[in-house]
Amino acid sequence: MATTNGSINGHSDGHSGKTIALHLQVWRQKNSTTKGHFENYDLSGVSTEMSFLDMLDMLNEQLTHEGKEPVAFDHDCREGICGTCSLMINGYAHGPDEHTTTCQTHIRSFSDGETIVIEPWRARAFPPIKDLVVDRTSFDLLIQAGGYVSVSTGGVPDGNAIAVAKESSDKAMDAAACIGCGACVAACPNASAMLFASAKISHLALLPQGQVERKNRVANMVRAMDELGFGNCTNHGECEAVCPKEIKMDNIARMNREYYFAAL
Amino acid sequence: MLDSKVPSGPLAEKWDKHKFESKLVNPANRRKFSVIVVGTGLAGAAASATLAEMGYNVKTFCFQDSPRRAHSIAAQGGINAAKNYRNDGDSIYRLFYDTIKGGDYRAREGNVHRLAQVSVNIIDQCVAQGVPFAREYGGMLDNRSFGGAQVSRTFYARGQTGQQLLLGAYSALERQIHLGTVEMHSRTEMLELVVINGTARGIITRDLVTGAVERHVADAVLLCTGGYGNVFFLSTNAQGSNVTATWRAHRKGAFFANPCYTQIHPTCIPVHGEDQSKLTLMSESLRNDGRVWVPKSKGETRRPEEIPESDRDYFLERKYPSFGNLVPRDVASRNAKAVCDEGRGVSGGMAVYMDFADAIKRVGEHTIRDRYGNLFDMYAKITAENPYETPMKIYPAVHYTMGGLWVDYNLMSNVPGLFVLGEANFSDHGANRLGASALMQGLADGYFVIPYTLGNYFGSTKSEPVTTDHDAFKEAEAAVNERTNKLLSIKGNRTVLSFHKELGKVMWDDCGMARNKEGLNNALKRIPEIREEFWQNVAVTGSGDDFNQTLERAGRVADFLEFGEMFAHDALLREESCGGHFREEHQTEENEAKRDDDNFAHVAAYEFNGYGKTPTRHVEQLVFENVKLTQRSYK
Amino acid sequence: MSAFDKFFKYSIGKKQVMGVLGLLLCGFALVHMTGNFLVFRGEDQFNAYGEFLHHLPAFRFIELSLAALFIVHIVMGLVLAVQNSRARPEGYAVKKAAGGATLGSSTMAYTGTYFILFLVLHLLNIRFGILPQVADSMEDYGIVANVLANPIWATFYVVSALVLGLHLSHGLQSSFQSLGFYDREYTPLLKKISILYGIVIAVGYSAIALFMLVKHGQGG
Repeated sequence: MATTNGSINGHSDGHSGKTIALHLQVWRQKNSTTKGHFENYDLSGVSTEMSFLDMLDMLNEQLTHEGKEPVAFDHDCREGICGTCSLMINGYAHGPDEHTTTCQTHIRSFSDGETIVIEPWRARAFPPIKDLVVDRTSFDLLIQAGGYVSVSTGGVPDGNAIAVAKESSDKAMDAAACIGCGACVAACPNASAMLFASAKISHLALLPQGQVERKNRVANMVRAMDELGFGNCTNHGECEAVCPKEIKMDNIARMNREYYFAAL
Repeated sequence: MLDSKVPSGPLAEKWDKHKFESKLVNPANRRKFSVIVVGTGLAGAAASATLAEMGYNVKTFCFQDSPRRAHSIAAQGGINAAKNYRNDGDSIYRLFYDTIKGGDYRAREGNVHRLAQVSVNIIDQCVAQGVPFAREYGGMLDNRSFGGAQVSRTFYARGQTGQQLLLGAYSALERQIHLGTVEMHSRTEMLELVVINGTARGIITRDLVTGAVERHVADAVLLCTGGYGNVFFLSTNAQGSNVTATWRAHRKGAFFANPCYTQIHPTCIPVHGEDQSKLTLMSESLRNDGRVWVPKSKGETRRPEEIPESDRDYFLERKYPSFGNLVPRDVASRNAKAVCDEGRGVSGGMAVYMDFADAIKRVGEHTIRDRYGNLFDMYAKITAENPYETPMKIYPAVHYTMGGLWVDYNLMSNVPGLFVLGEANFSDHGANRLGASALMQGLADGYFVIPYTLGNYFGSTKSEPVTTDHDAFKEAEAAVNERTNKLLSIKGNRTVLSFHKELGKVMWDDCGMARNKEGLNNALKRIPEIREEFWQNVAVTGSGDDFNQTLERAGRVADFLEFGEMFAHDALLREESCGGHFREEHQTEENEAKRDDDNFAHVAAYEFNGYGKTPTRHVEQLVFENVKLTQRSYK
Repeated sequence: MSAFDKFFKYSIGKKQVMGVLGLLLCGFALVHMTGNFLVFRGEDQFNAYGEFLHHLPAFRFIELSLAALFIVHIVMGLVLAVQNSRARPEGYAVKKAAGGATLGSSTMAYTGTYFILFLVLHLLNIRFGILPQVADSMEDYGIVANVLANPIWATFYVVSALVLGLHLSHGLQSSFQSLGFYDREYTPLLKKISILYGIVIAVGYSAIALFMLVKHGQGG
């Protein structure tokens, strides 16, 4: 092996931070029909540089070596954009760090010997699948109810044919940044999906392209939200507090306005 | 045997001519045709939505829990389009030329020109869907210059362009699902391609929640399953990104083209430890203001802020005075590796500094925050260091794979009825992809190419009626079950993850940024050994009939273990350096990539000959009628 | 969907109705309290105020409207609370407020439910005068004094004032949000005003009860 491309895997270069021990209480549930329970696991030698999900990988390696079944948890991009990861960590959706997804949460946010309680998102509209994995198809169904502009491919005007005020465009982008992780539902005392729904309604209401279907969109999405079993908004603001993309409650206020203008 | 089917005639007229000559399917007849789409990234979601809008029966599959989560979502920088809104000399031909040159003359002229042509339609389509592209105060679309391009042709939505484009395509897809024209199967993985009488007629899938293995029949199968960067274990790809769909298709006869073409992105956050699962990309736009350097001498122990100018080596600026820190990705990556190999790397040896101190001094911290605030925050979140005060540490990481299943001009593989779109095919980027071109290709294929070429296929081919009771389905399903049972029955001592890491280390060390004969031969020896051990000693817990993430991963790693060997084989046989493929034996005196146009201006496409057997190398000669092949120079 | 459905069947409609009624009730709470402050001015003033109210031309209508306001607000609140608890059948073992929820917001259903009890007793105390039984000769002031002279009743009224204050500390700003008013600058201010309003209501009503207890109770 003459080439060294820079040893990358299995390479420990002395700046891995310190290591700590953790005590984990993890929700285990075989499937949607079986009752779940907490299991306790001890993990030592956890580098503070690790991400939270690296730590769960480490736990799963340990469990596999012990001949036990690893903990199922949802994850994919591990860079905070796909919205797949979830987890209620010590009572906080996506863990203790502000505006940070679980995959971007690092072990340095925890202390040596700390007990970490890990639970799945809990909501009627997010039924459990296994361990920490839940089914968030309800979000897709909510988008299906109207979270789009009904244009087909082809036959659209030039991108610059309709001017869009920068301010509207920026606000639309603020709302469109939603990653659909479901933390808002998980943290809401009422398991309400208002922040998620309002982000999409706002995004499209703020742009000229969204105007034609504006009234039907809000009416249909609100109805879908109820039918899917999400709770009502009682304006706590927990959703806004945990949202990793800092989607704000002014979107919910805008949805409320859109709703009565559509209703009247 | 490998007929690219690029239409004859002048470059700029090929696509229009081809569209006109293509067979059409009458709107009333389209519902008689069914299409399977695997993958819901930009290519898959765009194709599913568009084909459904046209009237075809579409079944779409993704392994994620929602189509919105495909890894296209992670693209940061932007999407190129030859709109010339800036009046700065851009044109379809210039975008075509830049892409061909950027790909180091290893892509097809016809395909690339078509890509440049439809790029303008993509922007219009996305705007109509409500994609919130950045705007100027006058309300017009904003552009930026990206990846060293000399014109401003990149459209963007903050640092989340991929997310916004994907959500646009996803919303179009969800609309069709709602209308009942697309049957969506999420958390479902394709595990076999079904080929009947030489044509692709269906797939076998596994429901990742219930473990149910199912048969799906159609008149055509579209693979939109992304790249194979995770063969390196550590990459900027999502954890789930895998080669299984394309590898399974390859095993059923589809040729795999240029597997060794890998893009190593220069600006990623360095590796910090053994238990790391993922590398994070920092947008290359940072190189517009960040100066890359290492200490002049080995064994430097001072903190970066304490090292005086005279003891710093701004190696990119020194070697490439005219492009400086903005040299293309492959050049920047190789040079970072070179200084680290000399022992001058920082932070344990495998990182270089990217310093914003001068930029902050020049334009102020406020401006830098405006430009890169979200990236700096992300860096701080991951490393717990403040890049406004201390230089960032970066190192190259595997990012994108230009190789993929071989397709002709119609995006159809050599297996009739099997189409391959987006990163999963090999077609448009040659040996190196330019920044902001991946999003363009995925959407071009899905929105504007496949609707025509699939119609042509249906219009010109008679499809035999087939049901899922056909023997080929039974056999394919049995093969899936057998493999699953085998994985579960080994009950060995090593975890799936440990095999993946071991493979990744071999791939990175021997098939990474710089390759040579000795290393590649070593990889060709090591990979089969690892694979043998895998099938003897892997530990897959749980069962096949419920949600089992270990089993999912085991199947994917098993395929990477076969694929990796072909990758190394291709890298060994391509006795030249081009773009992302750098063979140490083939470099200029200034250590730049040295192409061999006489012998290697071709596509290498491999035919599967059986498990562990050497694949047959087929060649598609690249024809350059419009551009002159020159040595890239960034001095 | 019909306009009725929009406002009484679907979630946002319901919370908007809640918001409108809530704002009206907020107004009532303030007016009722200021009116009752007349006890500080003495028996005659207070009775005159009572007389004035009873002889308003639309008194019966106002009274019934007020009752309807309360009933709809309460029934809808209960429906929402039941739906909300059904939206999460299995709760968390550990759940912390991340910075949004306040004591007021997280106790709305409880404070609201408590208030049903209060209303019933308050009506029995004052409107119907049967708990405790009032003498025929008693005018409005006498009725109030008769109740609040009893330390148990006085305590009940103080506690109820605190509960109401807590309810309104979230309710006022929540109504604005439900009705679509949000402003990055003014909403944080509104939240503060809402809490201040809750305190004013709690202190004001408590003061009435304590004043009457001190003045007419055993020791007074």
